Amino acid sequence: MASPVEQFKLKSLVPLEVGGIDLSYTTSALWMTITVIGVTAFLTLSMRGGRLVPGRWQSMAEMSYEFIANMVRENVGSEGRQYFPFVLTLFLFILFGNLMGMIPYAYTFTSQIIVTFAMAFTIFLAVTVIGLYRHGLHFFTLFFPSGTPIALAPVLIPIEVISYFVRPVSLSVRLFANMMAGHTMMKVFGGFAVLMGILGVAPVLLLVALTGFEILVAVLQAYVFAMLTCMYLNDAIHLH
Amino acid sequence: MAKDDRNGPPSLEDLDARLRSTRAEAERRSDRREPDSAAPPALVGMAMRAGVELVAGVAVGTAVGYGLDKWLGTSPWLLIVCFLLGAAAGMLNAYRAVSGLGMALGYRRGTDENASARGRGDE
Repeated sequence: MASPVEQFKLKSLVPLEVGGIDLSYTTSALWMTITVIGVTAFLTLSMRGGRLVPGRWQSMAEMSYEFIANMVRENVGSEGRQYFPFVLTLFLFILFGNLMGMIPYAYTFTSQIIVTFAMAFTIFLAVTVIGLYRHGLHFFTLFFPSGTPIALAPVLIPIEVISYFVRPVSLSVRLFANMMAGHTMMKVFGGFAVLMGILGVAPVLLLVALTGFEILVAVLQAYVFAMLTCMYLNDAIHLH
Repeated sequence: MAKDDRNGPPSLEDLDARLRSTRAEAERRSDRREPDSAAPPALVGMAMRAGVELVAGVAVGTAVGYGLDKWLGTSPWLLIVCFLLGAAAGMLNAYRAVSGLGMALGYRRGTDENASARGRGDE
């Protein structure tokens, strides 16, 4: 029986090394490519008809569009409209990546901390740059809100600065940990089912419930990721 | 409308002005909407957030302290201080996640009783 964490091992499909850095095309990259193609196909093919009364596929595409459009409008306001394409791309990329990871033998690239951290850090940098660009040095009042007693400054400012730098970490760890823990757990129960023989019916039943739960988590984490991106953007644009 | 019919199609300037006022009106209306209509699916997510927030705060605080210690050679004092600050930041973030303040830094909504009661419509 394979180890429960063996599913996360990267296999390099096309070995490539540039200047001593390993740039191989791995299973993770393969599934990212499949995800991008999948999202593009989903949006373009389902909207090709462009009917006034949408069919099944078209209404799915329209629903995901409107879902994110509403999320951006409600959390960021009308100024956030220009960031809508970014949030929609991010949401669909993570959602498709998570859901495709549920297909047996597929690779879940969102279960790699470096993938989620790269996304979270990009958001962190973008939000900081947007905040600095829109408000200049006034942006730093984020760390010391007006009306706070000056005596608290030596304690409050470090705490606020750390809690600002925690953002990319907690954003990436949340997605990565949820995906990795879920997939490991499914593999462990799958192993039980094999080992227990006829009694293995019990873990299989549990596995059925767990699969449903995993699909919930896959959708939920994509939602949370997009939602927090909106909240960070709101912070940078409106500076409480 | 009857006047338009008589004088041919309305002028472009006229249309432009009307379009602009309608757009501004729609924008104002959409901004006023309360953001909590998406609350039910968010609840589970928010519950999971608090735990990650606590751990991440401590982890980042410790890492910052360790890094500063290495750099300034003040081991282990900054590590201890930053560990405590990180724990405080983690608790603060967890509190914010749970109390529905979002990831907002600062306390404006928290200290102003009325503003927090009115929710986020005060921006």
